[in-house]
Amino acid sequence: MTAVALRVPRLRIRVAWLHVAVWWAASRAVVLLAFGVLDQLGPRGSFGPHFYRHPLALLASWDGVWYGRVAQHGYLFVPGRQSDVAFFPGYPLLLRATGLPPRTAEPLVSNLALLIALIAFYELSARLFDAGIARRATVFASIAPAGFVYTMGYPSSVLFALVCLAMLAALADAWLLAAVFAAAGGLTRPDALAVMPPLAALAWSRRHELDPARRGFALAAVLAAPAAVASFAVYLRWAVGDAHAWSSSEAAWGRAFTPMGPVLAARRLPGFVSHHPWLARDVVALGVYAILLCVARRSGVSWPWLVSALVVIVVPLFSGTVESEARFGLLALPVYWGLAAITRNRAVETVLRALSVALLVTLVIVLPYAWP
Amino acid sequence: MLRSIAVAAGLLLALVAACASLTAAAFGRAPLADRILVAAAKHLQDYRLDDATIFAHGKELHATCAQRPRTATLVVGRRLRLRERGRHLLGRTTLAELTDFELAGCPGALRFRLLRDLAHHADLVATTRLGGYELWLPHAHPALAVYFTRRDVPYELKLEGRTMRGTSHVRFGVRV
Repeated sequence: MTAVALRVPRLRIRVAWLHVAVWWAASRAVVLLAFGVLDQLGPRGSFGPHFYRHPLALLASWDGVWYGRVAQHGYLFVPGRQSDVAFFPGYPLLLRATGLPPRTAEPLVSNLALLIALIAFYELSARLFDAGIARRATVFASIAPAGFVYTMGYPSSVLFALVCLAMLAALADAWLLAAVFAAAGGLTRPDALAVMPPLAALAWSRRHELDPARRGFALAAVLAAPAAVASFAVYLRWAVGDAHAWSSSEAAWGRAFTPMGPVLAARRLPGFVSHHPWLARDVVALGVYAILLCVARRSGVSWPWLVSALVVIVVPLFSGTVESEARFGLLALPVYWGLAAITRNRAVETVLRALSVALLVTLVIVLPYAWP
Repeated sequence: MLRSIAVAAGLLLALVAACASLTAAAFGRAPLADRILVAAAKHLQDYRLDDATIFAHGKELHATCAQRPRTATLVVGRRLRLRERGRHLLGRTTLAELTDFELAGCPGALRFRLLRDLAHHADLVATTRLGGYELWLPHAHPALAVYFTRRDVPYELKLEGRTMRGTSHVRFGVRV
């Protein structure tokens, strides 16, 4: 193991980070305020009373309940029913590490992870493009309409941070560190596989500059996320006696991966939207992401990053539903670069920022009708 | 080239081991009782017929239960005794018939019952016995003890309710 491979990129607090931190604080204040309004005025009928038992209860709802259960009690697999093996262990590990009750730990961990994620994303964007793109893209990432989940008991912000940190480490030639971050991502959610294409492209482009050992680290970094995903199957085989417990449990949520998944999703769409009209949000998000990815491509975002975004957005469609696409797409980083590219004009930037904040608040307010 | 692949393979193995160990150290393993129930539920899903010798209300009965995806039909002796559809028994049932049905161990009904307790995080007590395990579900209604072989297949049921009591020996056959 060489010293070079182990080196940690030196961190310097930059003025730009303060700008990012201000946007982080402002966006989270807006989200918390919207949750406060929902807590006070939200509909009681369609929303169970348990959502209002505690000021933080809404933030730790839906997936947060399951992650909290894992953090508190460990895994339990109930075949044929929704059970907690559907949730990867990275986020509950962090919750447990805080030593706090889940409903307190979840908003704390998620929000702090978002700050780290935004700073890392700014640095990554600045290295790949320029400071202007980085600044605008980071602001849009902080106020992304579906980004209210960054404040809730969801691992999205942790994964966002780990993906950006893995890429930053790789760009700094710290491949071992990149492998560790990518593996931590894989342990947090399978979407971490999205880091593979850009890591692979970078490793390939630098193959002649690396000695054999560092080439090995680079290869391991590319494969670290799927390896960590596989480690969860190894754990499940030991802990609950079924290595496929994750996919079995996903099926209980109506998600069964099949090659015909996108066709099924399209077929089910009319019924899905007629039952839950607000979930049209995910269909609209899918369209917006597609447009912004085209813009990103025209603006010079490289193919590996676009493939990464497609992994994040298209792979969940193979589970036969468009549900939660808005949330999954948060990790499609080229979407933010696409937005940054079309907001070079100050007026356009201001309008889109205002629209994004308005949508962010709206999506919080309509949560009783459209879960994350 | 080979050295790079060896380094990558070594590091990936270390990462898998580290991730699995970290998860195992933090969250441990599901209790024995839960694991037995999960394994038993998987086995029960595979069967569509069982024979039971029931000892209840001072009598010994021979029962056969035919299980379909949503229905179960219980024949006691040579007479149709009960039919279950969608987890509901059809028609009016006496306490004795209900006891027979519980003891008959229809694969789907028994599976549903075991998993319901598991899903509710009920207190389950598992004891290792010669040749298998005893699982005690004290909070089930009625309280139930299930004896499993080492391969997690139920072979004896014991009802310990206030009004519903009895034991049965069950044998599962005809896989789906």
